[in-house]
Amino acid sequence: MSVGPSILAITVDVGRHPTFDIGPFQVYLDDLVSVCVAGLLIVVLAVLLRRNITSGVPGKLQLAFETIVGAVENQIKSSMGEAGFFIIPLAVTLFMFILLSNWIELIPTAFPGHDQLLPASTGDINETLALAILVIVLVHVTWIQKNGLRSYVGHYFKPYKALFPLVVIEEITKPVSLGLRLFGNILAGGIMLQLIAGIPISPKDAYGLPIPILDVVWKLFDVVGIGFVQAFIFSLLTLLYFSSAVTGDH
Amino acid sequence: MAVETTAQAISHAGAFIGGGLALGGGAIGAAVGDGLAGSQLIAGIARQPEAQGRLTVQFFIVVALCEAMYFINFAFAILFVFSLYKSS
Repeated sequence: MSVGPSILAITVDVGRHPTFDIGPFQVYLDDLVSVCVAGLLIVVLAVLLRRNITSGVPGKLQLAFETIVGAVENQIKSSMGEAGFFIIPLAVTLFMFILLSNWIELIPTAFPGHDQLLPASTGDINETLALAILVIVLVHVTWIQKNGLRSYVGHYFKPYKALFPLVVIEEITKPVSLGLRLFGNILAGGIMLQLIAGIPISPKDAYGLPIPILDVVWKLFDVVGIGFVQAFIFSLLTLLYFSSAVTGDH
Repeated sequence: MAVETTAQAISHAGAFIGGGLALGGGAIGAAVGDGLAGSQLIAGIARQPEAQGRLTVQFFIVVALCEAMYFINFAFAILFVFSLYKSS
């Protein structure tokens, strides 16, 4: 489906996925495969790390993981103290998973006549909203666990009782904005890839389709740069929401 | 893309105008937010050059949050232009 008079050599298709049905639910096959690939990559990395872990001079993989865990530890120490260290596995896993899911966009799997075979799974609203809802449900449960039900209900009326609707709206906005931010960024990157590939100044290959040279530049900025930034922002906001839950403070 | 009825043409036009408004408003907001963050960064570095490392980290966090609003707008513009215009 092309839109308007086409200056592009190709058509840009949004929101079409190969699907299959499980009962009443419809599953996007390419996003499912992408999620499994990202998860498998993380498990492989973790197993490799575990096998080569030393308390002497660390190798490169261990150094990378130690940097990430150290940064998360510093952030937790500055916001909620030592009591929040149980969040570290969740934050590091979220960061690594979202980072790897975003970086899967680097692999060119779009062939002529097919949809993209392996898209970034975070470019789908279902995936990012699921992650965001998981995080926010955990935040609420942690709040009740750490501070009790009375304090949890009390925090809705905390600054002034009249602000109760605003606090409820803020609590609803948190997961929605968390998911939409990641989704919008990654989807925009993917669509820009298709648009840039269609700019008429690109040289043509044997099929008469444009060779996406400019795509490489765009991928360097968007997928590598913005993918990293959005993964960092997601895990940073997770830590901040958890810090307000652990300390019982609004 | 053959347009068959006036109603369809109106819904197409509405979708494109809505998408354009979403993109325009988002771009203005994101640019103003990034500009404010950048101006505070430059002022902070001018006042205290050795704080550059710490200030730059905070600057990039704020930029990512501002750009996020723009990308949410972008996602909705894509929704309008590519999906909603089909349902006349």
